[in-house]
Amino acid sequence: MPVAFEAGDSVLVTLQRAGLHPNHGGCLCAAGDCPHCLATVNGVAYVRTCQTLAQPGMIVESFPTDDYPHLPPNTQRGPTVSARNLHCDVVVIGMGEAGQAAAAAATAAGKSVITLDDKAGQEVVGIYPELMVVARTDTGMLHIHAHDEVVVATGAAEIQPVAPGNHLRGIVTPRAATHLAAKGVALGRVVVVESGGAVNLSTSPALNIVAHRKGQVLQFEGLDTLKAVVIQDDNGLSQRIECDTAVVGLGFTPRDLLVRMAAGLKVRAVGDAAREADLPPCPNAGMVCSCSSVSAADLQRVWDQGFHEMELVKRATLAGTGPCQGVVCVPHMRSFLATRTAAADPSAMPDITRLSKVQAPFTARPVVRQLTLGEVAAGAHHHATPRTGLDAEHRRLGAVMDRIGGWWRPWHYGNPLAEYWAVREAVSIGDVSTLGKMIVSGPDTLAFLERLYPTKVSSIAAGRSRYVLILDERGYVMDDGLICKDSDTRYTLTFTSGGSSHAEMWLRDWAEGWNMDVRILNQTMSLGAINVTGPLATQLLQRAGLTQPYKFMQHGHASIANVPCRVYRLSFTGEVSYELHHPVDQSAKLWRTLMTLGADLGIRPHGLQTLLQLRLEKGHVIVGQDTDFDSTPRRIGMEWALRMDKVDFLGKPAIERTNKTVLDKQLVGFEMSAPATFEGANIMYEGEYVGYVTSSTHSPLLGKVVMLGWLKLVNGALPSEVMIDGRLARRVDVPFYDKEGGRARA
Amino acid sequence: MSIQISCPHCGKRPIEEFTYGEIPRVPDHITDPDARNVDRVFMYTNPAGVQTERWFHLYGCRRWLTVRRDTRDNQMSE
Amino acid sequence: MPELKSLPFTRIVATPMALDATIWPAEALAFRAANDEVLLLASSLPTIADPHAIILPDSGFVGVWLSAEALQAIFEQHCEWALPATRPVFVQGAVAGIAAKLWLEAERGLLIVPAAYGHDFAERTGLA
Repeated sequence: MPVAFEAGDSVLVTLQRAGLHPNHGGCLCAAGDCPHCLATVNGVAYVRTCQTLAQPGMIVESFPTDDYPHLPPNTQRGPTVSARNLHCDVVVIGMGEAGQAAAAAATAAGKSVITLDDKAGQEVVGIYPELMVVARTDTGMLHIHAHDEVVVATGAAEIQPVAPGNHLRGIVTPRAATHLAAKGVALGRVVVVESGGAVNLSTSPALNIVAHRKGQVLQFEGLDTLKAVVIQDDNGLSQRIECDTAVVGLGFTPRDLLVRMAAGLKVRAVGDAAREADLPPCPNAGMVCSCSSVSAADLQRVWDQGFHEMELVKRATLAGTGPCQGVVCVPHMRSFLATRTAAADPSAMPDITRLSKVQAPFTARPVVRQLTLGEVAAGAHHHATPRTGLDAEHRRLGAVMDRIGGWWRPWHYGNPLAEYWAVREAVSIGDVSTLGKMIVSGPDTLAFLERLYPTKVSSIAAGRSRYVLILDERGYVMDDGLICKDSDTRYTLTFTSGGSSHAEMWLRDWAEGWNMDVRILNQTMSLGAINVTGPLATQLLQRAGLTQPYKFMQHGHASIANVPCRVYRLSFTGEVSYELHHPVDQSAKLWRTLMTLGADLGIRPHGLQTLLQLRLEKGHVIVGQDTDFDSTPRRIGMEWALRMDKVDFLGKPAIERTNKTVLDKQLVGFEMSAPATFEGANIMYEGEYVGYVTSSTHSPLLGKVVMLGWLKLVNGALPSEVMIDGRLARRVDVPFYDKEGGRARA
Repeated sequence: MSIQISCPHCGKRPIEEFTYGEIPRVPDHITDPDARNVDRVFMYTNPAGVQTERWFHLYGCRRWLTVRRDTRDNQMSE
Repeated sequence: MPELKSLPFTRIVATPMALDATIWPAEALAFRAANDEVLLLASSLPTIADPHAIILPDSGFVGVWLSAEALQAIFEQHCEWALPATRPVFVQGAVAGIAAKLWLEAERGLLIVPAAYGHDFAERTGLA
């Protein structure tokens, strides 16, 4: 139903003036402390209506009576919220008297000061380590970095009554009564009860005060709305008074949530935020924490179960974990525990005001206000995925792109089978820019690499490359790649795409740790790389400017299509292959020229899907896909890549150790009839689980399914026939294709 | 904001700019080289107090730095 | 809107001592990315007193010159750490969640990111 409002009215005032309650009931504070005026406003749940200005067309909904407020459908994306980062010496939160004084003092001391005040639309939601204050404003989030200190001058909150019926509508705090009356809200017949806190409503002459008593409220009567209060005075006499509004004064508790979440940080409370908390009477009945529906009876129940500490009672009941974060319930929990503790200890004076019996409030945690996901995410960025110099080219060619190995890469270009045959029978190009590329130079380079790698680096001739396994100290396979010798004091190292992010850290760590006189340059993102592969690859490159033939595993410099390239002859696909490493800003030029020059040769680009299929036919292992965290060279059948007669290399002592143990499993090849099974499929032998498939593809050329997988030794031997996917599979030697390797070396 | 680390080359930056690299440390009383090696590779201490750590400044100079961190309160020194 | 463009850097890795002793060409911008690494924007190369220095052209970075105000707006929205007050100054760190290098002069600054992140950086900062 539409309701009228005046400029400057809060949503709460607007509703109250129309005789409406924003939610179902409970004492109102009208000061942002309690959860009782929360509602869903314009689709955002948990909005404090007392702190929100009414706007034309605003839609306010109460929460369901027996459910949490409904979230918007997950198809609906909330607005993006921006964050502003500000830096200063001192942040002052709250611009009352104490806050103004603190700000003035800091300014006078020559500090740069930022002040925040909820009345000015800056709602502080938390304080974080290294002193960052996060505040919500109408125009986005503020992230304020304080270099010296944060002053909390947020004042004090009024303590709310706990008695049966305190969930009814018509109960307000003294400050709320004054505020609502001043805003023209009709409160009807008002009963004032001073329960340890003075109540002075003389500034609100419009109020119709029918009774003003000192004592305790025993009961709030009514169905939904307050009809009467039962009060017991200090002499023990009780009286029932009919009324429309009850104003109960119980004293104050400091608004110290921001201080209590900042232990160990330079955060200081001043003014009422630093005052001693008043202690209300011990709650015997009624709702203590309406956020989590914890009654006085619930406190008694967990007390009886042995939970006698604030932090434990919080965890046992969830009191204090809801929208108000304990502002309402903490004073009553402290009073309850102090009273019970005193009663349980016969030596103690039954005086609950003795501070030694009153436990400190529990630690507060950010945030103290309910935030939307957009507000939480403001200023945060998800991990960016790098793109190769050919990214736009792939997309232009209609490639299906995916994030693989930490990069955006083309999966295929629409016809993976045609890509496959282009490599096997003609020529194809693929983007391998994502490979890790590092240069190491310096007098200690050879000594450094000899200690790092399990191969004999000194036997690599200048201009030649060698495939290497990269081991960690535990002797497990961490990555693989190439060592390419440029000169006696300079080598180029390559790493897999997935391992490249780690490679630089690894190299620098050991170079420093061993005090090696080397210089290291990471060129991974500076060089693009195109793999030219297929039986016609050499022919294509000759057209593009390659003047001299390259032997298998030879490398050198050449101008290809007028692009300065570092040329590496190698093979991952099983066919003749050249990797062309080149300045990344010239990738597209090189790619397009090769595509044009190879048109009549049947050239096609191939994506990662085809590359994985081609390498699997060759039985090449992909570290991280086929290997596991405990894969030793022995387990993956690649001990040929180790030179155990070297004095030392990284992982050698660990390998010597693990070699003494009995081999328990191995990575081996399997083949079976079509169709291909999924990667991860179980391998069974005589009804028992003996391993799983790590790579699986249907080989178009061989006409069967080829796989790699882990296989346990059974009675000391590898089973030669197993069941995969309920079908018979045979263990075979790898590679599956071109066992002699003649094609790659052609 | 989170914890900050002082990079000697780049200055103070949020911890998200860095990658953690542990220093497995072998207690001095283990003197046998073989045992030391095993310990360094497989055994980790988890002290409640100041420990030496290596961090890699991935978003800055891309170099390793060594910091002393108190594991009880994340106070960084050096 | 200004655009991120490839920058014709020379990347030099050499001993810190050799880099300290190098006299850079007058018009050059030499950014000390690390103790042992310089990113150089210059038309000529100086002599580096390190026979093992790695000196290579590098097109792996893109950058854009922006006014001090435009840079301030980007930092405020996308940068958690505080910029130094001195000018000119070279700093490095995360901007919009991406490893950025900044050369700040009094009235303007050069914002540099790896080319591989140029697309995302432009999208995040509104430079796209």
